[in-house]
Amino acid sequence: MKVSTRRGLPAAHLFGALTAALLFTGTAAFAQATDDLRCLGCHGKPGFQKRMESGQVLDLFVDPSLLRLSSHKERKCVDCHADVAEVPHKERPGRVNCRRCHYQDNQTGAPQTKRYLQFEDSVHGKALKSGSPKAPICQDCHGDHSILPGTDPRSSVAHAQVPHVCGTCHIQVFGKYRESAHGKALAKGVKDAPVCTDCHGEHTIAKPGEGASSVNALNISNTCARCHASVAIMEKYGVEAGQVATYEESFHGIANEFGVKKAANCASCHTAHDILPASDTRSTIHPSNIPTTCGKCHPGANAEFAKGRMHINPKDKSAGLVYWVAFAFKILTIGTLVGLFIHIGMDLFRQIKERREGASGHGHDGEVA
Amino acid sequence: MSGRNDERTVERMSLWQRVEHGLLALCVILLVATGLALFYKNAGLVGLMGGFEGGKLLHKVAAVGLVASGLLHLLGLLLSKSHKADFAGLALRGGDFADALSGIRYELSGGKGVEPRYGRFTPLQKFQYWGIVLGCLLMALTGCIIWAHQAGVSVSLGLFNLMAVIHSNQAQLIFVALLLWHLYDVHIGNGNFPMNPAWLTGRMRESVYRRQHRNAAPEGGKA
Repeated sequence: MKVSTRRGLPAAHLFGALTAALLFTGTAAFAQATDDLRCLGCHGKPGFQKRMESGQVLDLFVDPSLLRLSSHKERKCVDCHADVAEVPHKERPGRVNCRRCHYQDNQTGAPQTKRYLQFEDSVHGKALKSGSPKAPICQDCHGDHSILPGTDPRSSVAHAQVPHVCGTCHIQVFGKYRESAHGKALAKGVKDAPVCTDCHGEHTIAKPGEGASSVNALNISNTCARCHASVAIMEKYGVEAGQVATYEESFHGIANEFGVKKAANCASCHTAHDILPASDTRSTIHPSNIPTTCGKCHPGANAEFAKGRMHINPKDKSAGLVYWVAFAFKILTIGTLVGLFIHIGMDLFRQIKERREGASGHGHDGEVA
Repeated sequence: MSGRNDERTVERMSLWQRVEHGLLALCVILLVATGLALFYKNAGLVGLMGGFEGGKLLHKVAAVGLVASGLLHLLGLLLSKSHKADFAGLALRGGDFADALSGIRYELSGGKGVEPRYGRFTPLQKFQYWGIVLGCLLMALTGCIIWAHQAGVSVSLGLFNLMAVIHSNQAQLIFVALLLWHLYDVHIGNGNFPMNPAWLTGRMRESVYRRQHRNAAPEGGKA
């Protein structure tokens, strides 16, 4: 008896195809396991290393337990190490190229994102393109065999880990950041504490001098404002949220908004990485340091210069005399405006009256023909 | 006393006063326009001025011009007898407020009762003159301190903040009290439409003068 499918494929053929497919899949899985087992046969042994001609010792151990946890656990070693064709390797395998799978509109199952292209235009991507040996590649930040999504706290690019990853190259900056108000907050586990990528971006990092940079002189106040203008975030830590608004209304803020790069921005006074509260004697905004800080732009700044407050809001009573002066002017201006309207009303009333009288033949006493 | 269409005119401003007034008007308009455009971040106006730096430079040039117009005014007072007489006529008297109030009462009553008579300067003109004098002095003082601060002179932040708030608020008061009010008076109000030409020709129609000054006769041919 012949059983056929709707398309007329003989059942025997279908059975054969299914068997072949199962065999192939099984073989592939077997091959993957075999491949990885072959690799791990050497690389899975703790202490597996190679001494280079230069004397440098390369640690070639790959912890299988990390591999099993990573986002790439379903991948074979050779999916990434595509140039490895034989064991033992005749030549040293090259650097892994993540772009074999990670590109926009990929069909490989890698996340669809613009980040791959953004990286090329970033300061790191440009350095890489120019052949700089110091330029970081994907795995320098994301790790290699233990790649995990950034949302996983164990990931090298998890929020709390970012300064450590960036700090492997940017050592001095990391040292400053760690001592800053932001760094200390992060160390205490404050999730709102900004890390490198919150200010500089991730795959879009540009040099501060470039207009596109989030830490460019003309953009940095907006970058800081993302947290510092948020009442919800600032009130949790007892920080005044109105500082951004008062800056924007100040001479500095107005000049900055109109593209004057030399006008002071947040980092000009608070620094970029050494940010400390004004109560800290090391802070650039501690009263004893204000002459030096302001003196960068205002050469005559001295102790007298530091007397008074920055970031005052004339509409708030906390501004003291400035508030009352602004209030008095407000009353005076509104009063004058009201007076002007009354004056205009009276004048128009008189002009209309005079025209009516003129039309009815009554001239003004003072008119001279 | 002759003028357009054979209508009698009276002299209101000497050439010196017209130059002085022209310089003052130009500078005040520039100062208010540049200052408020920057203060309120009006991108269109700031763009017209050549950006922030252009606007700032224009503001400072106009500020120097304003001080120059003040010095010109003082020089006129020192050198000219008629200017001194004008100045004496502008002096505030105790009766000025009462005169102003009686004028308002007269207007509101629809022209009933005793019509007040003013001299060469109405109470409102006197108030505007002294408003300009005080306003310019205050603006110049606060402006100089702000300028000095930017230039590197050590001015305390407290004093700077006070000067900045006075400067910006006074500018708005000047805009309302002097520019709007004065422009209404000399272009629309008091029968001046479309314009009182005194600031250009030095003379105005006698009929309008008499109406504005409550029938006060021109003094010695000069009103």
